[in-house]
Formats: sequence, C-alpha cells, structure tokens
Amino acid sequence: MQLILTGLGEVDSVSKLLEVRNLKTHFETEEGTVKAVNGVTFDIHRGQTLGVVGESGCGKSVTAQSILRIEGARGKIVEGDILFYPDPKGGDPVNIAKLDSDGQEIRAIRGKEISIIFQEPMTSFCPVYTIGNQIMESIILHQKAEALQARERAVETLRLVGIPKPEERIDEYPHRLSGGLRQRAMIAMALSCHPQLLIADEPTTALDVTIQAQILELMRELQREMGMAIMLITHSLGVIAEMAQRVIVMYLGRIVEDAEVNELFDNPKHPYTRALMYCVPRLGSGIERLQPILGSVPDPYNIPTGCSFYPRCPEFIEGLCDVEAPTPVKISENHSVSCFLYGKGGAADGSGHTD
Amino acid sequence: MTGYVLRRCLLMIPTVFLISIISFAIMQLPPGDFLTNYMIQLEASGQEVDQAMIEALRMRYGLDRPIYVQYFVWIKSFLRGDFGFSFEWNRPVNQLIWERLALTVAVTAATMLFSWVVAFLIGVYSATHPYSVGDYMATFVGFIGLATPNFMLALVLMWVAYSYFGQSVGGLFSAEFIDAPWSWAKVWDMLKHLWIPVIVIGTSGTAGLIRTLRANLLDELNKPYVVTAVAKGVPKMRVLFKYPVRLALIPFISTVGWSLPGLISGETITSVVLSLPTTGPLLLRALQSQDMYLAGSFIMLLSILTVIGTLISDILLAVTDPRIRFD
Repeated sequence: MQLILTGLGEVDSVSKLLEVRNLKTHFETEEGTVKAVNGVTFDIHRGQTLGVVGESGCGKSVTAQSILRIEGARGKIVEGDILFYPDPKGGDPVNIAKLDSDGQEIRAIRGKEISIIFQEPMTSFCPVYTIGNQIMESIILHQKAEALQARERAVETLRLVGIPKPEERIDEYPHRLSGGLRQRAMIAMALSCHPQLLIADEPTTALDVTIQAQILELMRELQREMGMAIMLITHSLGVIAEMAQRVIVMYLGRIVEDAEVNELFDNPKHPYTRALMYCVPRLGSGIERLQPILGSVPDPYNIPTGCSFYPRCPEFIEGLCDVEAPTPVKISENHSVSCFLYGKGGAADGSGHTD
Repeated sequence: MTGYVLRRCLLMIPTVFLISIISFAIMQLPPGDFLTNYMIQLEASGQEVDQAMIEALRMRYGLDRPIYVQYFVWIKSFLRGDFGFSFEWNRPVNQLIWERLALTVAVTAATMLFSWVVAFLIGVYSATHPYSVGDYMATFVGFIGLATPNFMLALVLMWVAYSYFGQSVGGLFSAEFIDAPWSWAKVWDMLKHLWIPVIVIGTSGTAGLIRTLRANLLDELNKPYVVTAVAKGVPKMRVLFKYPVRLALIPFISTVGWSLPGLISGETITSVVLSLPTTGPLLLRALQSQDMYLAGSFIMLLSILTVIGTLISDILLAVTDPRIRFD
C-alpha cells in the first residue's frame, strides 16, 4: 500500500533525497495522546519542491519538525522511518527517525544538510545577538571556519538573499530590520551551509502580500542557483501553485491526496482538497460567495473513527466512511488519493462505491 | 552607549538633590529638635545642662533660623563631608558610619554573590527539568526560604550552633578582633564569621530569585529562537546558555539596583539578632532616639548607594539587552 503512495514515475535512489515511511509522531499531554502525525509516507527528490498543504492542526509542521528531530520533549516518533540520502551518488541512507534527538549525528545534519525557516521572522532570531553572530554560528559550527572567514561568508549569503549593504547589516540586531528583511536574513542563515533540503514552514504567512511575493521569488531563484530541494509548508493553495512540483494534502495527521501539481489543480479528487479549493477566491469565476468547509478541525484527542474527514464531508457514505479508514488508491501514474469514492484501497480497481 | 551613561550620571544629580530634601524633611518630622530632646535626656538623668554648649550648637547648625536656611546649611556641610554630630554617641557622625557602611557593603556584596550563584544554578536546573523531583525539592526549599522570616532563621541557627557545637555565632568578629586595627588576620576572622549572616540574609532573596529565574527561563525556553538555534545543529547546552539563559537574566539584572537598599534595610532585624556591626541597627537606634543628623546622613548615603546601584543595573541591562540601548 505504501508503494502506491510512492508512485512517482522517476523514482530512483540517485534522485531521491528523503524518504518518509509510515511516520507517526505522537505527543503525550495530560489530556491524552495527540496523534499529530499518524502514518505519513512521502518522498522528496533532489532539487524538487514539495508542497504540503492543509488547515492548521493537520500535522504539517510536526512532520517538518520530525525530519529535523526538533519535535520537542513531549513529542515522540512512535513508528516509521525517515530515510535521508546524503550522498547524491548513492550510498546508504541515514534513518533520522532512529537517531538520538540530541546526538552528534543529527546535529551534523541540522543546519548543514537540512535547514528550516519558520513562519515568524520576528521571533525566530534571538533579539540580543546580531544577525551576523547568529548566521556565523552555523558557518563556524559546520564548516569549521575561522571567525573572519565565517563573517565573509555570512556577508556573501546576505548579499545573495538581496539584503542591501550586507557589510553593514550584518552587525544589526534583529529588531532593527523590517519583517521582510528579517525573513531574508533567516533564509540566509538557513542557506549559509548550502543544505540539500530547505524546509520552509509557512515562510510568508506573517508577511504582507508584496513581501510574500518577493520572498517566494527569492526562494525560487536560490533553488535554481543552489539546487536544493524545498519542502514548502503552507495553507495557501496559491503559493503551492506557484512554487511546488508535487503536492501532498494533509488532514489530521494523514495524507489524503498526493499528486503532481498540475494534476492536483486540474483534477482534485479528495473532497477535502476540493473543499480547500472552493475556499480560494478566484478572479472572473463568477462565484459571489466562497464556500467554507463545514465545521472545523475536530478535537485532536477525539479523532473520528474511519475516515477522519467524514463528519465534514459532503459526500460521506454511511456505514463505510465512519467505520473503515480508507487507504491510498492510485488514480494515475502520479496521483493517489485516500477516499472510498475511488474504490477501496489496495484493490485500486476504481470500482466506485461499494456497499 | 557613552552618551547614555553620561546622561544617566547627569540625571543622578537632580535625583540626589530631591532625596536630600526628603531626607532633611524626615529629620525635621518629629516635634521639637534634637537639642530639646538632648536637654530632656540630660535633665532626666539628673545632669546639668550646659546652656552655653547648647547655644553654640544651635548657632552652629542654625537651628534658630528658618527651615530652608537650615537645609542649605546642612547640605553645604554635608557636601563638604561634615555630616553633623550624633547626640546619642556624642561623636561626629563621620566617625561612626564609615566602618559600618564598609562592613554593610561587604555583607551585602557577599550575600548577593551567594544568592546569585545559588539561585542561578538551582533556577537553571529547575527550569530545564520542570516538574522533576529535583524541581519539586527546589520549589519546596524555595517556598520555605521565602516564608521563613530571616531573624527566625538566625535564631534557629544560633541555637543549633550554640547547643550542638558550643559555638557563639553572633557578630562579625571574634572577641579579640573587635577593637583591633585592620589586618589580614582580622579580614580572615571576618570571612570565617561572614557565612552565617550571608546564609541568613541571603536565603529569602535566593528563594525569590530562584522562582523568578525559573519562571523567566521556562518562558524563554519555549521561544521560537531556541528552536531555530537547535535546528542549526548547535549542541543543547550551548543553546541553553547562549540564548534563553541570557534573556532570562534580563529581569534578574534589572533588580540588582533595588536589591542593594533592600539588603541594607532588610537585614536590620537580623543584624540586631546576630549583633552585626552594620548600618541597620545603628540607623534603627538613631531613628528611635531622634538622633536626627545620624539618621539623616544614613538615609542620604543609602539613597546615594541606591541611585548608584540602579545606574549599575541599568548599564548592565543595556549591555545585556541591545533592545533597550538608547542611541
């Protein structure tokens, strides 16, 4: 079944950078266990942009945090593998899910092979050190550079992300930079050691629209120049359409749909994906009112049985969706969906509604 | 930064000036003046009052003149270093206060050092291991420390030391050193005595600091910049001490200024119980007996120390936190 979700045509170990298999990250809280990520399988290929989309609380960020093992003290990867292929020429992968979250091995990957930028450029820099200090920290740590060399490289990276007068800005404290500049500096910090994968966790959500466009353009440019892969987490389908080559749609800790980007927008299958698309205003569509998704994301302690989307689903089949959990069904070469409307999982025969 | 410090130093002048007015007002608050009080005392003990000396003193301090003139006379001699005359002790205030002030500063400094080191270690441990056994123990001890009055702790400690170890723990010096001139032996003797007042006076402050540091650090540990640093691959301990601990210390540092006068006036009862030769008991007695020039001088000097303490903590704050630097 997992093989179906892998379903990318060009799969081969040389281009594959990250392979997440049946990942389950749970959080123990006083109220109970939150299954934030509950069986997620996907791949990221070198130089590719993977979009991850879904409402708040769907496990997008926790998936990203699990990849860097920064899921926090209460979070725990209870099952699954995160295979990272550091060597482009092949070679054995590292199973990040099995590493000690405070160990030397994962620390050598963080910031060097895989970097992350967060939603809040305002609070992601520590306010009492200059941005130069914080960028140089990575460079000194991973590239064993002297302070002076590291400073040169930091200036270079700041110039690369389009910060004017980088020789001066490097000594600024974060609170003296605007939100857009701070996010640029954040990207500079993430890219300072030339990572193979950049995870961008809602990088533009806190910025105003014109700056959003600039930051996205910058990320695309840098990807062309440096060739890194991007895992872009967002709840904006517009951003996905502009940036990603492949998209996974998440709902309550599971992937409900996984497709190549054009395929997803031309041919959305899962009722949740379709509902997400109806929420986006479109010029010239003639639709006067947007259609919201019914209800809200359920309480994480009481995830519905069966398909977790059924209470909000307009096409819910009684006696099936609320009893059984759907498994991924392959619709075409690069499109799979977890929904009974497209046949029972595994069979993938497209026989439509059973029962 | 230099401009900021300079501006703050200049601002200290009007502050101290205002304090001097208030100090003087406090000295004048009780009915009568200290000479009437003095005469009553002498007469009560059946001694003869030397009218000529009283008149001379009255002239010297200008007590027959209006209040504002008196103030200027007092502040002028204060600025020249003449702090007036203590009637209780029948000696110039100058001779009385400097050694006590120095000892007070020594006790205060040692206590602060003790509080900071202990509170820092326990606070960081508590915050990084929240709700662990160690944290609960630190919390328990901390609350006991906060809730127990210092003089009570002093009495218990004295009783234990005397009845179990046969040791007298009062004072800062052994009997043979009390009136001896300063020497290395005397300093060593003082250090041997210092730990008891330091523990007694420092406990409640330490407990308070532990609670503050724990709360601050717990807040800071959840800030996104900590995750950013971890995600860069920085080792855990280095992240802890470079980032959140430094920010958690900011409210800590801003309290240095006010912990200085707090320690000086707060230890009065403890000093009485432990018979420490510090400023607290002397100030208390001066206020009781309306020995007003002594009391006024003390209040002035302690206020000046407070203003300086505040300046020091503000400078430290500006060094630690670039967001509050005014430039």
